[in-house]
Amino acid sequence: MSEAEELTVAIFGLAFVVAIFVQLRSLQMRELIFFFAGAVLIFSASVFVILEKTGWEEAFKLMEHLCYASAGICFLVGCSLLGRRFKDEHGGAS
Amino acid sequence: MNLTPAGIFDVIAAIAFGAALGQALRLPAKKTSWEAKALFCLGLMMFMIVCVVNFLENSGISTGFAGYEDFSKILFLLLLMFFLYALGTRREINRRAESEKQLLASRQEYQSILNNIGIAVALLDSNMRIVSINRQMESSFPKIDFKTKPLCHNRFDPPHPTPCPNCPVEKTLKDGLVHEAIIVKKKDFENISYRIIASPLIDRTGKTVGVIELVEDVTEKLKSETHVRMLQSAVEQSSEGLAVLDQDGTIVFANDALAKMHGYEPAEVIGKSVSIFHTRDQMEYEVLPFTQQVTQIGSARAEIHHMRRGGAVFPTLMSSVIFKDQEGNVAGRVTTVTDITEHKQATEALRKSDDKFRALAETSLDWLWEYDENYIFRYVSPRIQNILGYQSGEVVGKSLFDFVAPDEVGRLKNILQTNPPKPINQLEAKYLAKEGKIVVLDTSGVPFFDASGRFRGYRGISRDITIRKQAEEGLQSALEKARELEEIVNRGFAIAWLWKAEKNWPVEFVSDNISQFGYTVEEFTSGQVSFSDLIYEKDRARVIMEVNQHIEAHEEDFLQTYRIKTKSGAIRWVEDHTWFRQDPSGEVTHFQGMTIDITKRKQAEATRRKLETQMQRMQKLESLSILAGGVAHDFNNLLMIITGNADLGLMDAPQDSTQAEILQEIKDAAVRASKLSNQMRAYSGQGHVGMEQVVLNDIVTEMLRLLKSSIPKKIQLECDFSNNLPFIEADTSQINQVVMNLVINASEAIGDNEGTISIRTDTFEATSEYLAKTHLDENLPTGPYVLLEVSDTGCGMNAETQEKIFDPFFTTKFIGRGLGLAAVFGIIRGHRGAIRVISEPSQGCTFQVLFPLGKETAKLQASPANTNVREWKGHGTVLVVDDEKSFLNVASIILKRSGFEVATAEDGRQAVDYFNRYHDQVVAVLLDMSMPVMGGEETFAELRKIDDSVPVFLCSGFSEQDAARHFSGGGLAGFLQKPFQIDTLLSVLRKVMEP
Repeated sequence: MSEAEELTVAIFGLAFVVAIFVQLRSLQMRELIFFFAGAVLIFSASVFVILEKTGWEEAFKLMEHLCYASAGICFLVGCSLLGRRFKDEHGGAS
Repeated sequence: MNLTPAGIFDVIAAIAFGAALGQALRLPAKKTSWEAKALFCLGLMMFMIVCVVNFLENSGISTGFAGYEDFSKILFLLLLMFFLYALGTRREINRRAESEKQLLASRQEYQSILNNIGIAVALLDSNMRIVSINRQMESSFPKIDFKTKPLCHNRFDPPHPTPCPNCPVEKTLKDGLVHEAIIVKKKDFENISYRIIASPLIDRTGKTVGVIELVEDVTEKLKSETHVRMLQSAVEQSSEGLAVLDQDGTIVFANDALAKMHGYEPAEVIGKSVSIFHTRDQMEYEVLPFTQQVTQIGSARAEIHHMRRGGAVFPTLMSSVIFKDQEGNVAGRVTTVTDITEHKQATEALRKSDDKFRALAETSLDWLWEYDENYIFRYVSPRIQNILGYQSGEVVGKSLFDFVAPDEVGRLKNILQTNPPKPINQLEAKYLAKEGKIVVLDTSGVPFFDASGRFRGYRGISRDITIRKQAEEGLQSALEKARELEEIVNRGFAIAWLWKAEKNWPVEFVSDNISQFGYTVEEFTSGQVSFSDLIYEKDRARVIMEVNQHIEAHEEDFLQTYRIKTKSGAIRWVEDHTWFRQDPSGEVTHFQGMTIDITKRKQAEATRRKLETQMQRMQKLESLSILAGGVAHDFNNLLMIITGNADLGLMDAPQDSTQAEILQEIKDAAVRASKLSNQMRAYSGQGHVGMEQVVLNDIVTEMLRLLKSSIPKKIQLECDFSNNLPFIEADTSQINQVVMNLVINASEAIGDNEGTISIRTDTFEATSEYLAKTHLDENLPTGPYVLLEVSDTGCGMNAETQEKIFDPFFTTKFIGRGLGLAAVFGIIRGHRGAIRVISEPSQGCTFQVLFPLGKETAKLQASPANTNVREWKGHGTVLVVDDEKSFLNVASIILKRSGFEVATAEDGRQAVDYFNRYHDQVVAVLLDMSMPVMGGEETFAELRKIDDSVPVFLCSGFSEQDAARHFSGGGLAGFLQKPFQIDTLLSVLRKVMEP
């Protein structure tokens, strides 16, 4: 992938992160902070991909994949918490 | 395979995303949407694959998918965002649904509360539009359609055009405070009062965004409050004293009346014992027993004496009733006190009044009674004994109808037994007295009732009107007779009157036959016309004066004759028989009278008087005529002697001698005397001797020609003669005399003044009315006459003078014989004509003379005198018959000188005897008409029997007409009017003897 493409992905990624942030604010659900964190980490991974071209390739690459792993965990936690909340709300309602 | 740290991270990432995928798949789809969940799971799975691919790449195992890593990241973030959006949307939907559900529940709860709160509630927004109302509001205002008219309460029923200025909702919206108001609405003809309470609805910012309006029907509440206030006011203002006492007799409450009744103010007595209102004795003997009775029975009522401040004692009627507290214990008593001082006084007055009434009933001339609902007498006053002859005890206990006359029972029952009973007002009925006679009673009474309103009987009074009824019947009979009399009067000629002796005599009664004068009875009785108005103005003062004179002379009954004026203005004569009525003091109060219309009688009397006057005038005229004729006759006979002897003397006397002059003077005087005699005869209607058919115009023209010289130059003579005037039969000389006298009379009337005498002739159609206005109205026939009219512009005459101008010797002139118009009168009378005088003082005078048209009559013509007749000599014997010896002598001398033999006779018998013997020698007879023994007419008849060939000449001092009347059979040879001339006598004889 060219640098331009990577830059474009980063910009799009930033835009989506901002959009997700706005959406999360309106939802006012603490569980979704993990989704936001996962999105930020994925965006961070894109940034590290770009930074690989500037030096410390391995380090940044490691950071890139660390971000993926962290993002996955964040989504896992977020989904778990969200599922529990839905379950609680359903139960309370019943 | 080369396991690097990055690869380890990739594995962890792949596992984490896979686990996240698993959790995501378990998320309930209804919390998001199944599309978002699927895409999100797809993203997780894709990223998990990316991580696996990264691991493989990093492990040195190329997959060929390394180029899609960045794309996958972007796609994943996109799917994540989509998922979050869907999650948010669904969550919002769910939240809203939940909120709505809660809101609905809350609203239902709120509505339930509002509907059951018992107060009408409406929720209004800031524009006063109704947001919500409860059922109470709907039921309170059922006619309002809140959906179409969601306005404030003032627009409910009926709608207000503008908001109420005192609207609490508006005030609340304005200042954010709670406001309330009371409004009154009419509902089903009843006023309903509503209390409106407006409470603000305030938002979080403190702004008033609406109003909660509470509407409460406070009609009953207000009524209750009003009633409470009224009761409170009634108690406070009651004229009766009211007090609330506790168990110890301490005054807890006392109204103003109670305090004032005892001379205190309410504040002064509250908290005090009731003993302040009583003396010690009253407390001991009246109040304490009363209190014990209240305590034992619960209530009591008794007369108790009280004491005012200052010690005055007064009676009261006191009532007490106990009241209990919530536990049922006696808490005190309520006492009312009524000052019965006035009641006591009234009771005493009533007792005295009752005594008076009883005394009145006992002594009244009327019968007082009372009977029960079965008409059984319960009380009768003693007066019944005088009325019906029964004792009171005999009547009480018996029925009313036992005393009513049998034929009246049914009628009385119908009147009395009505339901409901009605008062009896002057009910006249016949009752049966004890001795059996009928008594008429006038009864009045009223029904009376007990406390429950049940009819208990009648009370009333009856008066004996038997005598009055008899009087009324008598009066009725008298009235009927009066009506009959009035009918008789109304049908009669006499008008009956009754008028007051007041100014103008106002009429109280007049009979209907006043209509004969055009008036109605109402015009008099209403005062429109009074009795004095009826009297003719010219007679009114006289009538009033005569009435006053009769009153002063105490002549109660008198007759009056006067004129009245009918309604049409005509004047009628009435005879009034009047008598007057006096009051006890002698003052005349009324006049009564009968008036009869005597107009026809008056007219008849006037006609009779006129006829009598005319008759008297004619008799006078006749007497004067006879007198004048007789005088003229004798006068003529004497003149005949004088004239004859004078003629004889002249024949013998030398001509121009003194003797001849003297004899001529005698003869001239005799001739003038003869003219005077002729005028006398003319007045007597006997003067005309030469009746002939003449035309009046010819005579008048000839006469005027002669008279012109006698009339002063200042007087103008105007003539107007009608052509073709018919002939009249007249003595020309007498007509000349008439014309002369009338013209001279007219000239003398004008005198020395300038004036005009108009003479007119014409034919004239005389009517009976015209002839009635003439003199000499001796039943002259109507029809054509020849008119001679002489008018002057002289001094004229009044009516009195006109009545006398034809009397002999009446004159208005300083000098005059007074026979001129009398002669005219006689001449006209002698010609069977008429004369009328039309004159007014200073208006001149007109004489209208009517002559009958000419007709053929026997005409005795005297032979004209012949101037040389004295030379003529006759022969034979002339028989001269006259009772006047002097005439016989003169006639004998004259005839003998003319050659005749003369035989004389002093009466008719001698003449007849002589003529019987010597009629063959007699050549003529001169016969007087009036003689003793045998008159001229009889003598003439006898002579004609003996020999009718001998001419007989009538010689008389009477007129030719009289002679013609007496010798209507004819046969006379001629007429010689005494005094005649010798020549006349000889001419007559010569004409007969030498025809």
